[in-house]
Amino acid sequence: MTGKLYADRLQKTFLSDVAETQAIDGITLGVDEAEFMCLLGPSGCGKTTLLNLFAGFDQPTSGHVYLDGREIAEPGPDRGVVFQEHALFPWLTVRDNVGCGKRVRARPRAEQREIVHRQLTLVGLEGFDGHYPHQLSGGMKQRVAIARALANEPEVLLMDEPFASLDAITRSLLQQELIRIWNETRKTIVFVTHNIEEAVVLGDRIAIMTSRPGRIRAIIEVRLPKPRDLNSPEFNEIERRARALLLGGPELERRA
Amino acid sequence: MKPAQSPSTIEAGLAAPAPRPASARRRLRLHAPYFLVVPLLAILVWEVVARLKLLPPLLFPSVGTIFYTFIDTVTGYWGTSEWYSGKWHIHALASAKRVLTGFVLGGGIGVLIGTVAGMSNLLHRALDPSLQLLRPIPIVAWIPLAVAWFGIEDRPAVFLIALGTFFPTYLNTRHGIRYVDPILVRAARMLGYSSPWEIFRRVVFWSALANIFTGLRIGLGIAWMCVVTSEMLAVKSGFGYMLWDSYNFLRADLIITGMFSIAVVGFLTDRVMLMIQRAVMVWER
Repeated sequence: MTGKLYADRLQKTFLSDVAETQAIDGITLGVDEAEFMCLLGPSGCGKTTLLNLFAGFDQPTSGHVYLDGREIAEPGPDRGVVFQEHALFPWLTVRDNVGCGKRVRARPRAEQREIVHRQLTLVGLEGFDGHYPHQLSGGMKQRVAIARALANEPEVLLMDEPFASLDAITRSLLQQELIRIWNETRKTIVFVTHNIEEAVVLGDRIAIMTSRPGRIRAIIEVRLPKPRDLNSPEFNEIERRARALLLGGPELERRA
Repeated sequence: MKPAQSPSTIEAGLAAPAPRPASARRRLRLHAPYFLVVPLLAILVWEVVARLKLLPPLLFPSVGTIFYTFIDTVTGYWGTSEWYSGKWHIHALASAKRVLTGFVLGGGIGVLIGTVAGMSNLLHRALDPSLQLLRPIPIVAWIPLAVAWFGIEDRPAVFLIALGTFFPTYLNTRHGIRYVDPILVRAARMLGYSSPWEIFRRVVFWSALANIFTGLRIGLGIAWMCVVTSEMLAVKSGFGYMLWDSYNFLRADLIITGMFSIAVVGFLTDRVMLMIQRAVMVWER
Protein backbone atom coordinates (compact mmCIF):
# COMPACT_ATOMS: atom_id res chain seq x y z
CA MET A 1 0.00 0.00 0.00
CA THR A 2 1.24 3.44 -0.87
CA GLY A 3 0.27 6.95 -0.07
CA LYS A 4 -1.14 9.11 2.66
CA LEU A 5 -4.67 8.11 1.73
CA TYR A 6 -5.18 4.72 0.21
CA ALA A 7 -8.27 3.07 -1.23
CA ASP A 8 -7.91 -0.68 -1.62
CA ARG A 9 -10.27 -2.49 -4.05
CA LEU A 10 -13.24 -0.42 -2.92
CA GLN A 11 -16.75 -1.44 -3.75
CA LYS A 12 -19.91 0.33 -2.69
CA THR A 13 -23.42 -0.86 -3.42
CA PHE A 14 -26.46 1.07 -2.28
CA LEU A 15 -29.52 -1.00 -1.46
CA SER A 16 -33.02 0.37 -1.64
CA ASP A 17 -36.34 -1.43 -1.48
CA VAL A 18 -36.59 -1.70 -5.23
CA ALA A 19 -33.09 -1.71 -6.59
CA GLU A 20 -29.44 -2.28 -6.00
CA THR A 21 -27.10 0.41 -7.30
CA GLN A 22 -23.44 -0.25 -7.66
CA ALA A 23 -21.96 3.18 -7.08
CA ILE A 24 -18.28 2.27 -7.33
CA ASP A 25 -16.66 -0.96 -8.34
CA GLY A 26 -13.11 -1.98 -7.63
CA ILE A 27 -11.36 1.34 -7.05
CA THR A 28 -7.75 1.26 -5.92
CA LEU A 29 -6.14 4.65 -5.52
CA GLY A 30 -3.32 6.17 -3.51
CA VAL A 31 -2.97 9.87 -2.71
CA ASP A 32 0.50 11.03 -1.72
CA GLU A 33 1.44 13.35 1.13
CA ALA A 34 1.01 17.02 0.10
CA GLU A 35 -0.49 15.97 -3.21
CA PHE A 36 -3.44 17.73 -4.84
CA MET A 37 -5.58 14.93 -6.28
CA CYS A 38 -8.63 15.71 -8.40
CA LEU A 39 -11.42 13.20 -8.92
CA LEU A 40 -13.00 14.11 -12.24
CA GLY A 41 -16.12 12.53 -13.66
CA PRO A 42 -19.70 13.08 -14.79
CA SER A 43 -22.57 13.30 -12.30
CA GLY A 44 -23.42 9.94 -10.84
CA CYS A 45 -20.00 8.40 -11.43
CA GLY A 46 -19.48 7.72 -7.74
CA LYS A 47 -16.85 10.39 -7.09
CA THR A 48 -18.78 11.79 -4.13
CA THR A 49 -19.33 8.23 -2.89
CA LEU A 50 -15.57 7.71 -3.00
CA LEU A 51 -14.99 10.96 -1.10
CA ASN A 52 -17.59 9.96 1.51
CA LEU A 53 -15.73 6.68 2.02
CA PHE A 54 -12.50 8.64 2.59
CA ALA A 55 -14.37 10.92 5.01
CA GLY A 56 -15.88 7.94 6.84
CA PHE A 57 -19.48 9.08 6.29
CA ASP A 58 -20.14 5.77 4.51
CA GLN A 59 -18.75 2.26 4.85
CA PRO A 60 -17.55 0.33 1.79
CA THR A 61 -19.45 -2.81 0.82
CA SER A 62 -16.06 -4.42 0.35
CA GLY A 63 -12.49 -3.21 0.35
CA HIS A 64 -10.72 -0.85 2.74
CA VAL A 65 -9.72 2.79 3.10
CA TYR A 66 -6.58 3.82 4.94
CA LEU A 67 -5.14 7.05 6.27
CA ASP A 68 -1.44 6.74 7.15
CA GLY A 69 -1.88 2.98 7.15
CA ARG A 70 -4.73 3.04 9.69
CA GLU A 71 -8.11 1.86 8.45
CA ILE A 72 -10.83 4.51 8.27
CA ALA A 73 -14.01 3.48 10.05
CA GLU A 74 -15.79 6.73 10.88
CA PRO A 75 -15.53 10.49 10.39
CA GLY A 76 -12.76 12.17 12.34
CA PRO A 77 -10.93 15.46 12.78
CA ASP A 78 -7.93 14.09 10.85
CA ARG A 79 -9.97 14.48 7.64
CA GLY A 80 -11.39 17.96 7.11
CA VAL A 81 -14.30 18.15 4.67
CA VAL A 82 -15.51 21.08 2.57
CA PHE A 83 -19.01 20.35 1.28
CA GLN A 84 -20.66 21.54 -1.89
CA GLU A 85 -23.19 23.54 0.13
CA HIS A 86 -20.88 25.26 2.64
CA ALA A 87 -22.60 23.47 5.60
CA LEU A 88 -21.71 26.31 7.98
CA PHE A 89 -23.62 26.47 11.25
CA PRO A 90 -26.09 29.34 10.73
CA TRP A 91 -26.29 30.07 14.47
CA LEU A 92 -22.55 30.72 14.81
CA THR A 93 -20.67 33.81 13.67
CA VAL A 94 -17.84 33.45 11.18
CA ARG A 95 -15.40 33.53 14.11
CA ASP A 96 -17.24 30.78 16.00
CA ASN A 97 -17.71 28.66 12.88
CA VAL A 98 -13.97 28.69 12.20
CA GLY A 99 -13.20 28.03 15.85
CA CYS A 100 -15.81 25.32 16.45
CA GLY A 101 -13.69 22.25 15.63
CA LYS A 102 -12.98 19.93 18.52
CA ARG A 103 -9.22 20.19 18.09
CA VAL A 104 -9.40 23.99 18.11
CA ARG A 105 -11.57 24.06 21.21
CA ALA A 106 -9.19 21.80 23.07
CA ARG A 107 -6.66 24.66 23.10
CA PRO A 108 -6.38 27.62 25.48
CA ARG A 109 -8.60 30.61 24.66
CA ALA A 110 -5.84 32.91 23.47
CA GLU A 111 -4.52 30.26 21.13
CA GLN A 112 -8.02 29.64 19.75
CA ARG A 113 -8.35 33.33 18.89
CA GLU A 114 -4.94 33.25 17.24
CA ILE A 115 -5.85 30.20 15.11
CA VAL A 116 -9.15 31.71 14.01
CA HIS A 117 -7.43 34.97 13.09
CA ARG A 118 -4.71 33.16 11.13
CA GLN A 119 -7.20 31.04 9.17
CA LEU A 120 -9.45 33.99 8.37
CA THR A 121 -6.43 35.90 7.12
CA LEU A 122 -5.38 32.90 5.03
CA VAL A 123 -8.74 32.79 3.24
CA GLY A 124 -8.89 36.58 2.95
CA LEU A 125 -11.77 37.27 5.33
CA GLU A 126 -10.18 39.46 8.02
CA GLY A 127 -12.78 41.77 9.49
CA PHE A 128 -15.75 39.45 8.91
CA ASP A 129 -15.39 37.69 12.29
CA GLY A 130 -18.70 38.92 13.67
CA HIS A 131 -20.83 38.23 10.60
CA TYR A 132 -23.34 35.40 10.46
CA PRO A 133 -23.24 33.02 7.46
CA HIS A 134 -26.47 34.39 5.96
CA GLN A 135 -24.82 37.81 5.72
CA LEU A 136 -22.10 36.46 3.40
CA SER A 137 -22.05 35.75 -0.32
CA GLY A 138 -21.72 32.18 -1.63
CA GLY A 139 -18.00 32.58 -2.29
CA MET A 140 -17.35 34.02 1.16
CA LYS A 141 -19.25 31.15 2.79
CA GLN A 142 -17.02 28.65 1.02
CA ARG A 143 -13.96 30.58 2.22
CA VAL A 144 -15.23 30.26 5.78
CA ALA A 145 -15.89 26.54 5.21
CA ILE A 146 -12.28 26.10 4.05
CA ALA A 147 -11.00 28.07 7.05
CA ARG A 148 -13.15 25.98 9.41
CA ALA A 149 -11.77 22.73 7.99
CA LEU A 150 -8.15 23.95 8.07
CA ALA A 151 -8.38 25.43 11.59
CA ASN A 152 -9.08 21.96 12.99
CA GLU A 153 -5.66 20.85 11.66
CA PRO A 154 -6.66 17.88 9.53
CA GLU A 155 -4.14 15.54 7.94
CA VAL A 156 -5.99 15.73 4.64
CA LEU A 157 -8.59 18.04 3.15
CA LEU A 158 -11.50 16.45 1.30
CA MET A 159 -13.41 18.82 -0.99
CA ASP A 160 -16.69 17.79 -2.61
CA GLU A 161 -17.36 20.07 -5.60
CA PRO A 162 -16.89 23.06 -3.28
CA PHE A 163 -17.12 25.66 -6.06
CA ALA A 164 -19.85 24.01 -8.17
CA SER A 165 -22.63 26.34 -7.04
CA LEU A 166 -20.61 29.54 -7.47
CA ASP A 167 -20.63 31.81 -10.52
CA ALA A 168 -17.76 31.42 -13.01
CA ILE A 169 -15.86 34.53 -11.89
CA THR A 170 -16.02 33.71 -8.18
CA ARG A 171 -15.10 30.14 -8.98
CA SER A 172 -11.87 30.95 -10.81
CA LEU A 173 -11.00 33.46 -8.09
CA LEU A 174 -11.41 30.79 -5.43
CA GLN A 175 -9.42 28.28 -7.50
CA GLN A 176 -6.47 30.69 -7.46
CA GLU A 177 -6.95 31.25 -3.72
CA LEU A 178 -7.01 27.51 -3.13
CA ILE A 179 -3.73 27.10 -5.03
CA ARG A 180 -2.22 29.81 -2.85
CA ILE A 181 -3.56 28.16 0.31
CA TRP A 182 -2.24 24.79 -0.82
CA ASN A 183 1.16 26.36 -1.55
CA GLU A 184 1.23 27.82 1.96
CA THR A 185 -0.04 24.79 3.87
CA ARG A 186 0.98 21.84 1.64
CA LYS A 187 -2.04 19.87 2.77
CA THR A 188 -2.96 16.63 1.08
CA ILE A 189 -6.11 17.51 -0.85
CA VAL A 190 -8.68 15.33 -2.58
CA PHE A 191 -10.89 17.53 -4.73
CA VAL A 192 -14.02 16.23 -6.45
CA THR A 193 -15.21 18.06 -9.55
CA HIS A 194 -17.12 17.54 -12.79
CA ASN A 195 -15.43 20.55 -14.37
CA ILE A 196 -12.55 19.56 -16.66
CA GLU A 197 -10.85 22.96 -16.62
CA GLU A 198 -11.06 23.13 -12.83
CA ALA A 199 -9.37 19.73 -12.51
CA VAL A 200 -6.51 20.79 -14.81
CA VAL A 201 -6.13 24.14 -13.03
CA LEU A 202 -5.82 22.51 -9.60
CA GLY A 203 -4.67 18.90 -9.77
CA ASP A 204 -1.20 17.43 -9.49
CA ARG A 205 -2.90 14.28 -10.66
CA ILE A 206 -6.39 13.84 -12.08
CA ALA A 207 -8.22 10.55 -11.60
CA ILE A 208 -10.75 10.27 -14.40
CA MET A 209 -13.82 8.26 -13.46
CA THR A 210 -16.45 6.48 -15.54
CA SER A 211 -20.11 5.99 -14.66
CA ARG A 212 -22.18 3.08 -13.39
CA PRO A 213 -20.38 1.40 -11.91
CA GLY A 214 -17.81 4.05 -10.99
CA ARG A 215 -14.32 3.03 -11.95
CA ILE A 216 -11.09 4.91 -12.50
CA ARG A 217 -10.47 5.01 -16.22
CA ALA A 218 -7.11 6.73 -16.17
CA ILE A 219 -4.89 8.97 -14.09
CA ILE A 220 -3.37 12.03 -15.72
CA GLU A 221 -0.31 13.56 -14.15
CA VAL A 222 -0.17 17.31 -14.62
CA ARG A 223 3.45 18.42 -14.51
CA LEU A 224 2.80 22.13 -14.91
CA PRO A 225 3.82 24.66 -12.25
CA LYS A 226 0.98 26.34 -10.36
CA PRO A 227 -0.62 28.80 -10.84
CA ARG A 228 -1.15 27.58 -14.38
CA ASP A 229 -1.60 29.49 -17.59
CA LEU A 230 -4.99 28.51 -18.97
CA ASN A 231 -4.00 29.62 -22.48
CA SER A 232 -0.75 27.73 -22.78
CA PRO A 233 -0.63 24.91 -25.36
CA GLU A 234 0.43 22.44 -22.64
CA PHE A 235 -2.63 23.29 -20.56
CA ASN A 236 -4.93 22.90 -23.55
CA GLU A 237 -3.31 19.62 -24.50
CA ILE A 238 -3.96 18.17 -21.02
CA GLU A 239 -7.52 19.51 -21.03
CA ARG A 240 -8.08 17.91 -24.45
CA ARG A 241 -6.75 14.57 -23.23
CA ALA A 242 -8.92 14.69 -20.11
CA ARG A 243 -11.98 15.50 -22.20
CA ALA A 244 -11.21 12.67 -24.61
CA LEU A 245 -10.88 10.20 -21.74
CA LEU A 246 -14.09 11.44 -20.10
CA LEU A 247 -16.18 11.22 -23.24
CA GLY A 248 -14.77 7.83 -24.13
CA GLY A 249 -11.56 7.99 -26.16
CA PRO A 250 -12.34 5.75 -29.11
CA GLU A 251 -15.56 7.57 -29.98
CA LEU A 252 -13.81 10.90 -30.10
CA GLU A 253 -11.09 9.51 -32.31
CA ARG A 254 -13.67 8.14 -34.71
CA ARG A 255 -15.26 11.55 -35.01
CA ALA A 256 -11.93 13.31 -35.50
CA MET B 1 -18.09 73.90 -31.66
CA LYS B 2 -19.52 72.46 -28.50
CA PRO B 3 -17.08 70.76 -26.15
CA ALA B 4 -17.41 67.00 -26.22
CA GLN B 5 -19.87 65.82 -23.63
CA SER B 6 -17.69 63.65 -21.51
CA PRO B 7 -19.22 62.26 -18.34
CA SER B 8 -17.99 58.69 -18.44
CA THR B 9 -20.37 55.87 -17.64
CA ILE B 10 -18.75 55.48 -14.21
CA GLU B 11 -19.37 59.09 -13.31
CA ALA B 12 -22.88 58.81 -14.61
CA GLY B 13 -23.40 55.78 -12.40
CA LEU B 14 -22.26 57.69 -9.35
CA ALA B 15 -24.33 60.80 -10.01
CA ALA B 16 -26.99 61.69 -7.49
CA PRO B 17 -30.27 59.94 -8.26
CA ALA B 18 -33.09 62.08 -9.59
CA PRO B 19 -35.27 63.42 -6.75
CA ARG B 20 -38.48 61.53 -6.24
CA PRO B 21 -41.32 64.00 -5.74
CA ALA B 22 -43.75 61.34 -4.50
CA SER B 23 -41.43 59.95 -1.85
CA ALA B 24 -43.39 61.32 1.13
CA ARG B 25 -46.61 59.87 -0.17
CA ARG B 26 -44.80 56.60 -0.83
CA ARG B 27 -43.46 56.44 2.71
CA LEU B 28 -46.95 57.00 4.04
CA ARG B 29 -48.24 54.18 1.84
CA LEU B 30 -45.58 51.87 3.28
CA HIS B 31 -46.01 52.76 6.93
CA ALA B 32 -49.72 53.56 7.23
CA PRO B 33 -51.37 51.67 10.11
CA TYR B 34 -53.12 49.12 7.88
CA PHE B 35 -53.78 46.85 10.85
CA LEU B 36 -56.47 49.30 12.02
CA VAL B 37 -58.61 48.91 8.88
CA VAL B 38 -60.22 45.60 9.79
CA PRO B 39 -60.98 46.43 13.46
CA LEU B 40 -62.49 49.81 12.50
CA LEU B 41 -64.68 48.19 9.86
CA ALA B 42 -65.73 45.48 12.33
CA ILE B 43 -66.65 48.10 14.95
CA LEU B 44 -68.64 50.00 12.34
CA VAL B 45 -70.62 46.93 11.23
CA TRP B 46 -71.17 45.90 14.85
CA GLU B 47 -72.50 49.32 15.78
CA VAL B 48 -74.89 49.35 12.80
CA VAL B 49 -76.27 45.94 13.73
CA ALA B 50 -76.59 46.96 17.37
CA ARG B 51 -78.54 50.10 16.45
CA LEU B 52 -80.91 48.12 14.24
CA LYS B 53 -82.03 46.47 17.51
CA LEU B 54 -82.52 43.04 15.93
CA LEU B 55 -81.69 41.66 19.37
CA PRO B 56 -82.32 43.30 22.77
CA PRO B 57 -79.37 45.56 23.77
CA LEU B 58 -78.68 43.27 26.71
CA LEU B 59 -77.77 40.49 24.26
CA PHE B 60 -76.26 42.65 21.52
CA PRO B 61 -74.81 45.74 23.23
CA SER B 62 -73.47 48.74 21.37
CA VAL B 63 -69.75 49.34 21.00
CA GLY B 64 -69.99 52.18 23.49
CA THR B 65 -71.54 50.00 26.18
CA ILE B 66 -68.84 47.36 25.75
CA PHE B 67 -66.18 50.03 25.88
CA TYR B 68 -67.56 51.53 29.13
CA THR B 69 -67.91 48.07 30.68
CA PHE B 70 -64.35 47.22 29.78
CA ILE B 71 -63.06 50.48 31.25
CA ASP B 72 -65.20 49.91 34.35
CA THR B 73 -63.83 46.42 34.96
CA VAL B 74 -60.35 47.87 34.80
CA THR B 75 -60.94 51.09 36.81
CA GLY B 76 -64.17 50.54 38.78
CA TYR B 77 -65.09 54.17 37.94
CA TRP B 78 -68.84 53.70 37.32
CA GLY B 79 -69.40 50.47 39.22
CA THR B 80 -71.61 49.15 36.43
CA SER B 81 -70.11 45.70 35.95
CA GLU B 82 -71.59 43.71 38.83
CA TRP B 83 -68.83 42.56 41.17
CA TYR B 84 -66.26 42.84 38.41
CA SER B 85 -65.91 46.63 38.69
CA GLY B 86 -62.25 47.43 39.11
CA LYS B 87 -61.39 43.76 39.49
CA TRP B 88 -59.91 43.23 36.01
CA HIS B 89 -56.35 42.89 37.26
CA ILE B 90 -57.33 40.22 39.81
CA HIS B 91 -58.89 38.04 37.12
CA ALA B 92 -56.10 38.76 34.67
CA LEU B 93 -53.53 37.64 37.22
CA ALA B 94 -55.54 34.55 38.17
CA SER B 95 -55.86 33.44 34.55
CA ALA B 96 -52.29 34.35 33.66
CA LYS B 97 -50.97 32.41 36.63
CA ARG B 98 -52.87 29.27 35.61
CA VAL B 99 -52.00 29.64 31.94
CA LEU B 100 -48.31 30.23 32.57
CA THR B 101 -47.99 27.42 35.13
CA GLY B 102 -49.75 24.99 32.79
CA PHE B 103 -47.74 26.28 29.84
CA VAL B 104 -44.40 25.84 31.60
CA LEU B 105 -45.36 22.32 32.72
CA GLY B 106 -46.88 21.13 29.44
CA GLY B 107 -44.34 22.97 27.27
CA GLY B 108 -41.41 21.70 29.30
CA ILE B 109 -42.56 18.09 29.16
CA GLY B 110 -43.41 18.53 25.46
CA VAL B 111 -39.92 19.79 24.62
CA LEU B 112 -38.36 17.03 26.71
CA ILE B 113 -40.34 14.13 25.23
CA GLY B 114 -40.17 15.66 21.74
CA THR B 115 -36.39 15.83 22.02
CA VAL B 116 -36.11 12.25 23.22
CA ALA B 117 -38.44 10.97 20.48
CA GLY B 118 -36.55 13.04 17.89
CA MET B 119 -33.16 11.69 18.87
CA SER B 120 -34.17 8.03 19.07
CA ASN B 121 -36.32 6.33 16.44
CA LEU B 122 -36.81 3.44 18.83
CA LEU B 123 -38.28 5.66 21.54
CA HIS B 124 -40.35 7.47 18.95
CA ARG B 125 -41.88 4.19 17.83
CA ALA B 126 -42.54 3.25 21.43
CA LEU B 127 -44.10 6.57 22.52
CA ASP B 128 -45.67 8.26 19.53
CA PRO B 129 -48.65 5.95 18.79
CA SER B 130 -49.92 6.24 22.37
CA LEU B 131 -49.56 10.01 22.36
CA GLN B 132 -51.30 10.31 19.00
CA LEU B 133 -54.15 8.22 20.41
CA LEU B 134 -54.61 10.62 23.34
CA ARG B 135 -54.26 13.76 21.22
CA PRO B 136 -57.75 13.86 19.65
CA ILE B 137 -59.48 13.72 23.04
CA PRO B 138 -60.96 17.22 23.56
CA ILE B 139 -59.71 19.08 26.60
CA VAL B 140 -63.33 19.41 27.82
CA ALA B 141 -63.52 15.62 27.97
CA TRP B 142 -60.74 15.59 30.56
CA ILE B 143 -62.67 17.83 32.97
CA PRO B 144 -64.36 15.09 35.02
CA LEU B 145 -61.11 13.20 35.53
CA ALA B 146 -59.19 16.41 36.20
CA VAL B 147 -61.61 17.36 38.98
CA ALA B 148 -61.73 13.79 40.31
CA TRP B 149 -57.96 13.55 40.45
CA PHE B 150 -56.93 17.06 41.36
CA GLY B 151 -59.90 18.37 43.32
CA ILE B 152 -60.86 22.05 42.93
CA GLU B 153 -59.17 25.41 42.45
CA ASP B 154 -55.95 25.77 40.47
CA ARG B 155 -54.62 22.27 40.12
CA PRO B 156 -57.19 20.74 37.73
CA ALA B 157 -57.10 23.94 35.64
CA VAL B 158 -53.32 23.83 35.41
CA PHE B 159 -53.54 20.14 34.46
CA LEU B 160 -55.95 20.86 31.59
CA ILE B 161 -53.86 23.76 30.29
CA ALA B 162 -50.66 21.70 30.50
CA LEU B 163 -52.35 18.93 28.54
CA GLY B 164 -53.41 21.38 25.84
CA THR B 165 -49.91 22.87 25.64
CA PHE B 166 -48.14 19.53 25.56
CA PHE B 167 -49.22 18.15 22.19
CA PRO B 168 -48.24 20.96 19.80
CA THR B 169 -44.96 21.47 21.65
CA TYR B 170 -44.18 17.77 21.50
CA LEU B 171 -45.01 17.46 17.78
CA ASN B 172 -43.01 20.50 16.68
CA THR B 173 -40.01 19.72 18.85
CA ARG B 174 -39.88 16.16 17.62
CA HIS B 175 -40.07 17.33 14.02
CA GLY B 176 -37.28 19.90 14.46
CA ILE B 177 -34.98 17.44 16.20
CA ARG B 178 -35.65 14.59 13.79
CA TYR B 179 -35.27 16.54 10.56
CA VAL B 180 -32.03 18.40 11.27
CA ASP B 181 -30.05 18.95 8.06
CA PRO B 182 -27.85 15.81 7.79
CA ILE B 183 -25.04 17.81 6.17
CA LEU B 184 -24.68 19.84 9.39
CA VAL B 185 -24.42 16.62 11.40
CA ARG B 186 -21.72 15.43 8.99
CA ALA B 187 -19.90 18.74 9.41
CA ALA B 188 -19.90 18.29 13.19
CA ARG B 189 -18.67 14.72 12.89
CA MET B 190 -15.78 15.63 10.62
CA LEU B 191 -14.84 18.37 13.09
CA GLY B 192 -14.35 15.70 15.73
CA TYR B 193 -17.70 15.46 17.51
CA SER B 194 -18.88 11.86 17.67
CA SER B 195 -21.11 11.14 20.69
CA PRO B 196 -24.88 11.68 20.38
CA TRP B 197 -24.71 14.20 23.22
CA GLU B 198 -22.00 16.25 21.48
CA ILE B 199 -23.94 16.18 18.20
CA PHE B 200 -27.08 17.27 20.07
CA ARG B 201 -25.35 20.09 21.90
CA ARG B 202 -23.41 21.38 18.87
CA VAL B 203 -25.95 20.97 16.08
CA VAL B 204 -29.31 19.35 16.68
CA PHE B 205 -30.52 21.62 19.48
CA TRP B 206 -29.67 24.84 17.66
CA SER B 207 -31.10 23.81 14.34
CA ALA B 208 -34.32 22.63 16.03
CA LEU B 209 -34.77 25.88 17.98
CA ALA B 210 -37.02 27.52 15.39
CA ASN B 211 -39.37 24.52 15.47
CA ILE B 212 -39.27 24.39 19.27
CA PHE B 213 -40.29 28.05 19.47
CA THR B 214 -43.07 27.48 16.93
CA GLY B 215 -44.35 24.61 19.07
CA LEU B 216 -44.18 26.75 22.21
CA ARG B 217 -46.04 29.62 20.54
CA ILE B 218 -48.82 27.34 19.30
CA GLY B 219 -48.85 25.75 22.75
CA LEU B 220 -49.19 29.13 24.46
CA GLY B 221 -52.10 30.01 22.19
CA ILE B 222 -53.83 26.75 23.01
CA ALA B 223 -53.14 27.33 26.70
CA TRP B 224 -55.17 30.55 26.51
CA MET B 225 -57.87 28.72 24.58
CA CYS B 226 -58.03 26.20 27.42
CA VAL B 227 -58.48 28.87 30.07
CA VAL B 228 -62.26 29.10 29.61
CA THR B 229 -62.66 25.33 29.63
CA SER B 230 -60.55 24.93 32.71
CA GLU B 231 -62.24 27.76 34.60
CA MET B 232 -65.70 26.41 33.83
CA LEU B 233 -66.37 24.73 37.13
CA ALA B 234 -63.38 24.31 39.32
CA VAL B 235 -62.48 27.91 40.15
CA LYS B 236 -64.00 31.25 41.13
CA SER B 237 -61.66 33.67 39.36
CA GLY B 238 -60.12 34.41 35.99
CA PHE B 239 -61.49 35.57 32.65
CA GLY B 240 -62.95 32.13 31.92
CA TYR B 241 -64.92 32.22 35.15
CA MET B 242 -65.96 35.82 34.46
CA LEU B 243 -67.38 34.73 31.09
CA TRP B 244 -69.51 31.92 32.45
CA ASP B 245 -70.62 33.95 35.44
CA SER B 246 -71.71 36.88 33.22
CA TYR B 247 -73.67 34.45 31.07
CA ASN B 248 -75.66 33.52 34.16
CA PHE B 249 -76.98 37.07 34.51
CA LEU B 250 -77.13 37.70 30.75
CA ARG B 251 -74.62 40.52 30.50
CA ALA B 252 -73.35 40.23 26.92
CA ASP B 253 -71.19 43.34 27.41
CA LEU B 254 -69.38 41.59 30.26
CA ILE B 255 -69.03 38.36 28.27
CA ILE B 256 -67.47 40.30 25.41
CA THR B 257 -65.25 42.15 27.84
CA GLY B 258 -64.01 38.76 29.10
CA MET B 259 -63.42 37.49 25.58
CA PHE B 260 -61.62 40.66 24.58
CA SER B 261 -59.48 40.50 27.72
CA ILE B 262 -58.36 36.95 26.90
CA ALA B 263 -57.49 38.13 23.38
CA VAL B 264 -55.45 41.09 24.63
CA VAL B 265 -53.53 39.22 27.33
CA GLY B 266 -53.00 36.20 25.03
CA PHE B 267 -51.70 38.49 22.31
CA LEU B 268 -49.32 40.20 24.74
CA THR B 269 -47.89 36.92 26.04
CA ASP B 270 -47.36 35.78 22.44
CA ARG B 271 -45.45 39.01 21.74
CA VAL B 272 -43.28 38.30 24.78
CA MET B 273 -42.57 34.79 23.44
CA LEU B 274 -41.64 36.31 20.10
CA MET B 275 -39.28 38.74 21.82
CA ILE B 276 -37.64 35.88 23.71
CA GLN B 277 -37.27 33.96 20.46
CA ARG B 278 -35.65 36.94 18.75
CA ALA B 279 -33.32 37.45 21.70
CA VAL B 280 -32.25 33.79 21.68
CA MET B 281 -32.02 33.29 17.93
CA VAL B 282 -29.85 36.34 17.29
CA TRP B 283 -28.53 34.88 14.04
CA GLU B 284 -31.96 35.23 12.41
CA ARG B 285 -32.24 38.77 11.20
